[in-house]
Amino acid sequence: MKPLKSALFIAGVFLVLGLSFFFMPEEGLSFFSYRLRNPLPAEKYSAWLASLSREKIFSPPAERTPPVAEDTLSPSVSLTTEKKTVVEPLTFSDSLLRAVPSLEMSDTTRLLFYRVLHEMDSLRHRREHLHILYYGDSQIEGDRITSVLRDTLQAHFGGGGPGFLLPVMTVPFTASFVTEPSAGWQKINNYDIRGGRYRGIPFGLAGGFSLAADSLSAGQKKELSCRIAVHSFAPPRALDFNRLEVWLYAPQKGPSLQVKQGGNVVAGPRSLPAGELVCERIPLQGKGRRLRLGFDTQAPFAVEGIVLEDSVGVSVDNIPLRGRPFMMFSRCDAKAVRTMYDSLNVRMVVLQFGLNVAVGSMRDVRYYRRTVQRELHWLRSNFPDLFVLVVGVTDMGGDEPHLQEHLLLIREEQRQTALKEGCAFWDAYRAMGGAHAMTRWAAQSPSLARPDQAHMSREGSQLFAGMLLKALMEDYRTYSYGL
Amino acid sequence: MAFSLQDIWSYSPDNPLLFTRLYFWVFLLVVLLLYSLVYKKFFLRNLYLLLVSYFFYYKTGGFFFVLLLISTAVDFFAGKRVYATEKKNIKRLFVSLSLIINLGMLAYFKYTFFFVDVFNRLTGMHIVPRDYLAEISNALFHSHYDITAIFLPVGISFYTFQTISYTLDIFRGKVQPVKRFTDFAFFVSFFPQLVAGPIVRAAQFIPQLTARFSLTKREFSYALFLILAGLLKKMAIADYLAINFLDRVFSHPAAFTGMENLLAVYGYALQIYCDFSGYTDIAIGVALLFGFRIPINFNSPYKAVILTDFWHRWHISLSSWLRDYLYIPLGGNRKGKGRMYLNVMITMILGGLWHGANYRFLIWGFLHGTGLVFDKLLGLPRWLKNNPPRWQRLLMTLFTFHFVLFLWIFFRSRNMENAMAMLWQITHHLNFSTLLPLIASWGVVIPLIFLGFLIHWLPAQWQENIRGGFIRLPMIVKLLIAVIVVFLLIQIKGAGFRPFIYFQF
Repeated sequence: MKPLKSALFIAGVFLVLGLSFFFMPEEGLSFFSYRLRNPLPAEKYSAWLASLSREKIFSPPAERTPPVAEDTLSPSVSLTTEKKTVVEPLTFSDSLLRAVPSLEMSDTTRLLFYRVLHEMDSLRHRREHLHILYYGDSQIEGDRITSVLRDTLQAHFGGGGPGFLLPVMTVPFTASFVTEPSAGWQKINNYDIRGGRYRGIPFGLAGGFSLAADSLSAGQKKELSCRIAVHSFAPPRALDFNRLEVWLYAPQKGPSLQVKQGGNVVAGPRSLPAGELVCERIPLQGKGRRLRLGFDTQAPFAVEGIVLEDSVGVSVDNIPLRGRPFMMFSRCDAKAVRTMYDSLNVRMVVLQFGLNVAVGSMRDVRYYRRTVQRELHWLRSNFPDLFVLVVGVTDMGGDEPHLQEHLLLIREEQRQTALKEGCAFWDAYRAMGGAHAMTRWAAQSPSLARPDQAHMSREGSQLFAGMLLKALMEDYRTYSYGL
Repeated sequence: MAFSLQDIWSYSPDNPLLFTRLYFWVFLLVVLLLYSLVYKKFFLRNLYLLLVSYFFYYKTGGFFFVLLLISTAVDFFAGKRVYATEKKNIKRLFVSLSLIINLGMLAYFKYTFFFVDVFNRLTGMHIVPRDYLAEISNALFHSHYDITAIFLPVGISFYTFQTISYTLDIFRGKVQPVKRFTDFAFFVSFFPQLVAGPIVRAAQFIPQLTARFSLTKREFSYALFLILAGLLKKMAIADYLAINFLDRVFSHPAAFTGMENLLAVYGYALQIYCDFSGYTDIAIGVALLFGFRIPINFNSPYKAVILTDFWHRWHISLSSWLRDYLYIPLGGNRKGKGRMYLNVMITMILGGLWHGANYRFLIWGFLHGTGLVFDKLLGLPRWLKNNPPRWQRLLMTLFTFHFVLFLWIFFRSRNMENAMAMLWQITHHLNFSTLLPLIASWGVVIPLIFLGFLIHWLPAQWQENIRGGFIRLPMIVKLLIAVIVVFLLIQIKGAGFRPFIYFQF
């Protein structure tokens, strides 16, 4: 057999393969519960990722920063020491990405992180899903940071959908979806309510819920709805969801639920039980990105969360708490949180707070440590296997007296407390470029900061997400390559 | 998918030319097409394949191909001088020259850090090794190579052994020297086996340099079978297990249960076999497409009844090289039993160190040597020749398999601490009741390990029947099977690439 025939055989294999992929749908083919992927379409990434390409993120790591020794953690905070460690302002753009600080954590915490990474890596073949909850103050509102994290992680580890949401949100129009609740809904949160419950309704993982038909009298009926539309311009994988979960608690009588997708009824109406935390899980077959949840009720009930996701892969959930210094886990109902964490397979929690304390008095700042310690301790003692990452306070502009001093102290409180409680810490303040970084961010074109110079713009949030991702993936690469 | 011209021609450490990459198969297609123009003329054919092989090596290992040229030139001329002269001393001089230069290069690139470390430990000194070649290059060419690290050139352990064997075979009168430099250079650098073996002997390959091209349909089908089987072994088993299970456990054994650690040891035994034998299968298959036959390197090694048998089945080209050029020159079994055991130990320790400059390989080689000595002390090779009862063979096969398995822990672990942590987890935290939940939670990983070993342990005749069945199929069916296999491999393939394990040796 001549070499030409061998070559023609190989060419034949290429030809048949090329044709099969050419005629295969871009999104691939479903085969039982598996999806056969088409390698021809290029991965779609937004512009920011061009400077932080996937190859760079997932390529072998550089040398890792040494772990934090657990026995050397100091419980006290020294502002004077901290002042000496303020980094020199960095020049902007590429140097920011190159100089992203690593996650700080002890070896024990790193093992927890590796366990999470291991689970994320094996999600596809285990046909499971995993949630990363991202709590934060107004800095994370609008899903601006989390949408980028989510899409990038889903591109690598699998998954789809925008994740967790509530019918009533402070900012209903996010980077991924918009929610439109009908009249009759209100937002209840646990900021000022002790005991883990409000009128017998437990506070779940979001530290708040959307209460429906609160004004309903006995014998009355009410129809309520919540429309959710995933944007067509949302990150690519936000549209790839095949499952809806509705977490609901009705103290007296459960409502009936009907779900429509793209105008077609996909579930219900079905009556839901009362007196317990219920998770109604509805498979979604169609491609419609618009959903309508219709409720018929004779008594008040609360929606503790709605999850739109792919049944396999990772989800990064955005849980913004505007104006709050920290997530009040200790004012949640531990049982309800556990039920939700277990069901959603929450393996990692990110907490990004601090801005609302920085503009307060020094007394507020000094008291802050107790709050952070109490909440982290609650979380770690109730969920010892959970990997918790505290993202340090971000820089902010403004001429309030002692602002930079407060920011440094807050960052140090967060770092010390996080490490002491067995959490990881990421120095966002340093990542942004140190003191007065936000002013420089605002001076960029397009501006990376909003006019208030406390919050990041859309572009700034994307850059910030890229930096956090780089820090996370540094450890992932170390883990993956076993170095 | 899109390549720029620079991507195609230039070396990129992140994109080496590997059998598991699309680029290689496009490269092979182009090389075969052009080969069909020159394959009838010996000189042109060999020259063409030499140039292609150098390009392949440059794409895989960068400018280290200069070392390949040095090794080739040294042994070509040493071989000629050894053959030309009648004087024993002159012959020995040139053999020594070949050994010093080849082993010197190998020692410098592979063992400098190890030797310096041992020296520092023994003397309490703190000598820091430097890459003087990089330093010279930086001074002369204003390059920016890191002088604090010495990178191991791809395939150096394989081609230096190949060139040494050539000179030694001429010295022993087993072969005559090759007349043309290009022919010899082609023998050393033939691309399918250049970077990870098998180590081909001159006596096996040189006669083929002047043989007409011949490839029957059966041989083509056999080559195709080997290529597809090799790709499946490497990508569907070795890489899948490594990415989804083994790398995790071996990186951080303390984070996993005893049962997971135990399963990882079984999994690694399968991974390293599928990785290396998969490479060899592809190499043999690709070489056959060009009309060249290179010897097998594996023969179902985990079917070995005793450890001696294992080394007749595992990495055959290396173990036979060590036997012929180390063990026998040391005296073999000709100088009494005590000396024979010592020779076995020396051979296996050096064989261990061949895999890398690390105490783990030293221990691995030492324990294998010890096992082989026990084999001989207990008279097991003789026992095996006497055709023992099946149950005894089965029992010994299981024992040998688990002994080999135990030693893989030292071979694969990142360091001795990890090896010890893994053994600790297995011996202190092994709970068989976790097996079923683990099977459920690890998805296809554990069934894949089971399936892999099941196929490995199929009777040889069954395996032969499968191979024969494939060879007899019509060509169009073979093409469809090839398409299906490649399609599946594309589905399985993860992000990034994983080089073959033996590239690092």
